[in-house]
Amino acid sequence: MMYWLSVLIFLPLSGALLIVLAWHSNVVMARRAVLLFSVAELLIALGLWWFADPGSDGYMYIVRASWIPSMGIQFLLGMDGLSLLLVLLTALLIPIAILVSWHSVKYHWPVFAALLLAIEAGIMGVFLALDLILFYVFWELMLVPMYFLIGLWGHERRLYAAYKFFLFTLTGSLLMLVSILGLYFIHGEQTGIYTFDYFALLHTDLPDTTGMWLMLGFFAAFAVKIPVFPVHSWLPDAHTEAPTAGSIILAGLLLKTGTYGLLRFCLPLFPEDSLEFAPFAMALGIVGILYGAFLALVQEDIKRLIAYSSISHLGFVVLGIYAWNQESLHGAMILILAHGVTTSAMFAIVGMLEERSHTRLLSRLGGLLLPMPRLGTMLLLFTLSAMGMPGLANFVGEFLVLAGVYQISASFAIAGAMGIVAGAIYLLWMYQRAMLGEVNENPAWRDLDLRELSVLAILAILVLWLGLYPAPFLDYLQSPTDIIIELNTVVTTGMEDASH
Amino acid sequence: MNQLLWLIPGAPILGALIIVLLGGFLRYRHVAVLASCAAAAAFLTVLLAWLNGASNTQPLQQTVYTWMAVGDWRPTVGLMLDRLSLVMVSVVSGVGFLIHLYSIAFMAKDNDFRRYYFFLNLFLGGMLLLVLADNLLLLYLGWELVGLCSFALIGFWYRDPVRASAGRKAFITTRIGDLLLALGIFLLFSQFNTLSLPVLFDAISEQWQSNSQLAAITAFMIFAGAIGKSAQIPLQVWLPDAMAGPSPVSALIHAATMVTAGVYLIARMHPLFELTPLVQWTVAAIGAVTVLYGASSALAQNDLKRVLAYSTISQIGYMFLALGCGAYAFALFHLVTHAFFKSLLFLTAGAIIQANNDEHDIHRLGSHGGHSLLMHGCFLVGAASLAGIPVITAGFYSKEAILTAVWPASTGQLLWVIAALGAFLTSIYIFRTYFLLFHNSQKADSTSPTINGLMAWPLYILAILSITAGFVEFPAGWSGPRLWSTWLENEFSAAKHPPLATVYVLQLIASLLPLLGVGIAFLLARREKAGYRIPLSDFLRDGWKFDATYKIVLVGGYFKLAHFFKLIESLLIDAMLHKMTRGYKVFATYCRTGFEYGVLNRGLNGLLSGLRFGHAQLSTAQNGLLNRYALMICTGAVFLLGYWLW
Amino acid sequence: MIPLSHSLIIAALLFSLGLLIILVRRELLFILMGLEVMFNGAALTAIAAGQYWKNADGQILTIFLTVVTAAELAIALILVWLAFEHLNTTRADKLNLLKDNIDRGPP
Repeated sequence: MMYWLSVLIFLPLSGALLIVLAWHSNVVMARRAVLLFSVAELLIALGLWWFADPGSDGYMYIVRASWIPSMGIQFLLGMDGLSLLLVLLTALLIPIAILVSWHSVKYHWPVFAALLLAIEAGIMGVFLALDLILFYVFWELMLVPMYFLIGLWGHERRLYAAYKFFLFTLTGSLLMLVSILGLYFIHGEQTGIYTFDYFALLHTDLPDTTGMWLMLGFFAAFAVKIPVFPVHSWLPDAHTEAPTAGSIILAGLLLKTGTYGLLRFCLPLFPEDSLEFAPFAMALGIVGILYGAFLALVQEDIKRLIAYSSISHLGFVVLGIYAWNQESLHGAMILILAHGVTTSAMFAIVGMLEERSHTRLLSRLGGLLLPMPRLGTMLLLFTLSAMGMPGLANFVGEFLVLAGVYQISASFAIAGAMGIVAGAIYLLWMYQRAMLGEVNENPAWRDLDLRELSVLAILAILVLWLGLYPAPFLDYLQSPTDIIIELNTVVTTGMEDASH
Repeated sequence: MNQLLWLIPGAPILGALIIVLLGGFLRYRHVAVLASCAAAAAFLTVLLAWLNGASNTQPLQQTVYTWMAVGDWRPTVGLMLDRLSLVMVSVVSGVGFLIHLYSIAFMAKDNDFRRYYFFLNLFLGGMLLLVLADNLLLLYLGWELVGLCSFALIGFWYRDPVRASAGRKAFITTRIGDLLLALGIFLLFSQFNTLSLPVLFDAISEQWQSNSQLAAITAFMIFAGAIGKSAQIPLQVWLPDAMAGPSPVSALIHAATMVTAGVYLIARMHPLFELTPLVQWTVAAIGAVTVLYGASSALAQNDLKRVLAYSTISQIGYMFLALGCGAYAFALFHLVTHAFFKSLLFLTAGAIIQANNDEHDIHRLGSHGGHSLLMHGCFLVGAASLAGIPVITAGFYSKEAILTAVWPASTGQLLWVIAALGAFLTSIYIFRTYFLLFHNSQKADSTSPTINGLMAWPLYILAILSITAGFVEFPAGWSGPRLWSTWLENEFSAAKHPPLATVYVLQLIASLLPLLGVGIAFLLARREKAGYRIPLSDFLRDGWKFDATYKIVLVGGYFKLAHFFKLIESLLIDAMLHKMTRGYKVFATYCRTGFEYGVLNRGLNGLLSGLRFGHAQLSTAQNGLLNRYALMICTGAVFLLGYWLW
Repeated sequence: MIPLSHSLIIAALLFSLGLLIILVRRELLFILMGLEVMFNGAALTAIAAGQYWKNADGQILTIFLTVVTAAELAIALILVWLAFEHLNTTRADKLNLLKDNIDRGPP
């Protein structure tokens, strides 16, 4: 059973290779093959879900093989509840991205397909790797195909956006590499065992300031990816310029790797320092929430608007992660999933609109509910989910986050809750400008076809499922949360002991 | 019966689901009948609950499933039917069913009927869920769901940007209240770690002292949520605009049910409110001010539906007043009678407006003349009940009950005066409307549009209820049944009333005022036809200028702030990035000319030429001649041998 | 019994003769012959040493040497033949393709 984890990573990689080698000029075959590979990947992920034991403690599957033993680098993969849900999300969103680009990608389909599969492999690796070097490798692996995806199939200013994206994330991840090495050497000096094994490094005893610097190195990489307030400016550009599939992957998955990194590495590896840092991180989250909401209100470009709303929503996730209690952590993790589904769907819809009208500007849309009732209804559903309508996906996450944050600090919770109202304001404004009113232009609108409708229907069902019955998902998140909570209590009791 | 509870909210929600999934295959008749059947199913289940002893003191309960599971906190989708929710459920499903029936004929000419019936059914389900919820989280779900449906139905004719904006305005305004409600829920959760209502009430009464600060804050936040939903000052601005929706929607959502959700919420949370007299007094005060606000604004309206909207604001003010004075049962009583007569008025108004080509202005409607007898009669019954014409109308009994209960409360005399003034104004504005609409020179003739059968039946039923519903509870000091307060006495403590002598005086004054109001209204209507305008009419018509003020202060400020942040984004962050890039480029250029060319390149070039020279020298040895190589090997060997031997 | 010194002197003479041939002659075939002569010198040393030490190792080494030389010679002759076929010469001073040419630069 275990080796299926490696299959999750190598299947898309080999698929990408196969497509480039075998069908680099055969669009029809490339499309079929890429769909086949991604669906096979989804089936494997579902199978892993089916056979996973939700009650089991910690990790459900672990793969351990030696890679470069002389430097203590292993091929170490592991899947716990959090990774499982994120792997499922990845495996689901890639076929959706493929289906959405079915007709909208006009040239070099096979290369496009191969890049998508390569990104999938990288993201899967990030969500599964438990060896720090392996994690770093996958972290960079997903960066390069994304760069080409934006740079080759993007819109007018694609090169600028791709360049900005690459520089920001690369800078962050280099800082993380420095921190990884620092941790490696400190652990090696203390124990005599030089290893990048996550489990071994978990209990490293770090000197005060060093630990803080190392933690900040990790945080920098993840903050850029999330993105947290001051380093967010690559996101709107990248989203606006990326092709639809790129936006879906960017919003649905890449941003999630940042929050996943916080949960998997930043908090467990440096519990004391993270606890010390938590108030600042929560403040950054709050600033992100409100700042994103404000800026979203005054955007003309729908994709940019959704990009800023992503900043706002991810602010909730950061807030929930650093509030560090039962409810908020559950909420943050559910919100990661919910935002992945909701925002991907919104980007998909914007992509469909763009295919029809060749514009993303709100001022040139309007009244589209009349010619396209299906699209309008779907957009309404996802818009409502994004603004935290109870019974839909985001509400569960936002509610739990705020309920948890309230126990830490009422003022943070109030500020966060204001973000929800602000969310309602800009999202309804967007919806009204795009869908209601009179039709501004008429480029022969046609409603969704079967392919588009089924893509959105899958996401809609997920949104409803997450909103109405999140209990099964929350069950999987119980043990990862418990582990992180335990760190907090260990630290606080440790501090109390020290003060006595 | 416990097992069937889910059917009450479930049936309309299922109906909505079927419409959205299969709507494309169904014709108007099928969709309308399906939606009405769903509403009827809910209503029949409620009746079944009555028959099966839901009126017992023990509430019925059903847990449908576990919604979330976080640690040991597992909020469920759980339903609870006690007497309070039974009242609400009956009103909601009953009026809801009647309005579904009415809509069948009313919406017959609209192409978008699927969307209409979808949201109408969804609204019914959400509202029933709200009143049946046994925990605050589920209540919040229902609360937001009805807000959504209200948004969608106000903006039902979305091609008109004004209507679409009205829906958005309603949603956002109520959301501000919802935000505070949510914070109140968070506060309760952080204190007691549960949101289940029965558990919460036990915990509150055990752990919180009377007048405790936390209780006051929580109660205030929940009250703020109620204010938003029930359109009380200062969040009342959305309700008049909400009249942009179809009339049945106005009747159901913006008169009978959704806007009274705030009343229900406070009545439901009354153990909390009873701990904090200050907040309770605030509830009463807000209610009283709103009564005056709504009634005075309605006086100057020219749009028929806006008159009714302001009237609704004002009538809900009465309910808040009663809640604030601890007369929960009477607040609920007024809620019920108001649901009947106000939906009657809205449905009649809808019929009148539709029959006159969407004419909303009461002056022009009046001059059109031809209104059928049924419209005339129904409107009169509704108006009489709203004005509280003594003894014969339901509105009289419920309003009288509230007024009597207000007197003994703190600052009760002042509140009573305001409320009585409100009652006086109510009678003036509604009869002004009535006289303007129906008392003109032309007489109804046979050609005047009439209401067809299916639309008429709900009107008949509501008209009868608007008259008779009051007879269940006679005012204090009268001999007659007091079914209502005795039936609810397990839920709420009985309301106080002043000594009987005072009661009779107050009742006399409060009964005479409406009659006086009718007389004044008659005169006012006659003078208005001659072009007279009441003083301050512009100020009153604009709802005391709340809208304009909010628009300048809040909306304008908000957009300014957003633009300011955008400016910051472009100026500071992007500009800083640009500057950094520029600086980086300058630095790079300097490096190129100075370091790269001057130092590194020259050094490298020197090294290179040296290497090339050495290479040229050495390469003569590699001449490709075999013998020469062999000779070198030999020489080498000889040298090595020599080295070893010595 | 032949004294060891005699055998060694003969062997040294043979070796030097072979080396001389290699150094002086330009024809590949002669160079190969020179190589053979040198091999024989070496083999003779081995045999003489074996006899001196009353040990069979020297003879075994010689047998090995003979076999290896035969194989090597076969390959060398083939190479010579190939050189003649492709380059039309068997003279060592004409076969200088590996000569370093600084002007030609790296390949």
